[in-house]
Amino acid sequence: MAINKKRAPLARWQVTVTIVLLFTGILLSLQFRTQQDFRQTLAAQKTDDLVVIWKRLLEKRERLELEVEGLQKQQLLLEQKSTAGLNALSQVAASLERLRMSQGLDPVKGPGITITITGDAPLLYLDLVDMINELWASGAEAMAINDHRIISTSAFGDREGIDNIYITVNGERLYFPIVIKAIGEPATLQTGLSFPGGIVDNFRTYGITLNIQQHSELIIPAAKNISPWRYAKVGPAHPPPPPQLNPGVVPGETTKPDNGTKTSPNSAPLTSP
Amino acid sequence: MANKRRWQIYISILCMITGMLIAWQYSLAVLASEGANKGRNAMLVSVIEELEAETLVLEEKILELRKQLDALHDAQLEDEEEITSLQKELQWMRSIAALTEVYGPGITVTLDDNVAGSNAAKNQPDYNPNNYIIHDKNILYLVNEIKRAGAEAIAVNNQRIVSTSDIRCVGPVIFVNSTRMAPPYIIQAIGDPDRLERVVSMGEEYTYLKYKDFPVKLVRETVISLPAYKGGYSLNNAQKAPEGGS
Repeated sequence: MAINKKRAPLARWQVTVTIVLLFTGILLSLQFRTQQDFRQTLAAQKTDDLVVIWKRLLEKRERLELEVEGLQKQQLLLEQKSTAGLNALSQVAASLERLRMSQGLDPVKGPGITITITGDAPLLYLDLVDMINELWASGAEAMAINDHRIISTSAFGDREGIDNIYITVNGERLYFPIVIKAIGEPATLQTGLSFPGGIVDNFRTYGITLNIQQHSELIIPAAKNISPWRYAKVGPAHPPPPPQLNPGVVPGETTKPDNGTKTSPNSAPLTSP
Repeated sequence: MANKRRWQIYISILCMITGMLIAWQYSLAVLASEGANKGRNAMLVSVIEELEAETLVLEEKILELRKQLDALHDAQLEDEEEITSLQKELQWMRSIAALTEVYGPGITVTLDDNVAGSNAAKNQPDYNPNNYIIHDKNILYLVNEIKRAGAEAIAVNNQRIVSTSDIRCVGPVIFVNSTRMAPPYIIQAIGDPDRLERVVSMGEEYTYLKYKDFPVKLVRETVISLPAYKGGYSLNNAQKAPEGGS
């Protein structure tokens, strides 16, 4: 009511009071916060508590250091293992590559010779068997005949066609001209065929002429397919079956019908075959 | 007048409170800094702060190490997987290359010199001892026929026949893989026994030798064991060529 009567003076002191109150409020809250913060600072702690904190920290540091040490050891071990692993990997990869090349799974290139036989030659498949054999003996490292890679299972044969007999390699017909490619030391390979009394001389008596050429680089393709084994298994054979007769067994026992009881070790060889 | 005095009183009270607050605040701050500077506590605090910094560094390091270890572990697992698959392939390649012992069903072909025939013919004027002995070609051609019959593994007198095997003679002595052989020549092959028996027994070489009265025989086998090839594959001139080359 008084407010209504005297507006101006009241407003003035009210403003002042408000400002002072505001200031006080800010100060109070600041004070409270400072104290809160301070209570958490190390400086505000009691010496005993500081000692406890220090000790705990020491323990913590020790634990962490142990952990780091353990991890570093693991890392070193893993790194060593991984280097060893990489070494093993590259070794396995290298021997695999060599084997793949030698077994005809990969195409190969290198110096060597080509032997060309034209269609007018009275060639028999056994002549090819002889020639391939001779080339292996002369140090050939890889061979192909009309781009059929010669592998461990490659076989030659012949078959009757409509009007003639044709030569086959791995069951596939060989067409003339027949070109044999062999990678190896070219001079050695050529000598292996053309030494006096060798295959070249021998073939000539039958009217077969071989056109041999040396090359600084030949490319020999990979085998088309290598079939997986169906009969052969890796490893030593199973031990031979136990002897049919066991002298220790009473004759009556062999005729005894199986009564369901466990067979004695004595009679085992008799029941197992 | 009364009004004026009243608000002056209010202000005074407020100012007093404010002043007290400021004083309190100040004393607290002073106390704090004084307390921290006080000897043992101060040292403890600095040691603790140092320790805290150190542990923080250690924790960071542990985190980093764990990350590295995980990466190493992953890489190693990958390597191991790769090596296992490579080793599997290598195993297969080694068997194809006859570098392992093998066993399985097949046939045994035995070739021997025709001693009886030779003895009987010795006194004849056209006697040629070469007609009564097994030659390298006999074995070579027979092996080719065994290959035609789909043999998976072949051995002559325990010498495995591989892709690069050569069968030759020097004088009267036969060499397989440059290893000296002596009669009887026992050729063993693993594969389908039916097919091997049929193809070989009807093949040119076996028929020829039988016709010439050589003591040859062919036996089906339920299981035979062949040794590994003891030689190597030399690749001094051959290199890997890019795929698709011809």
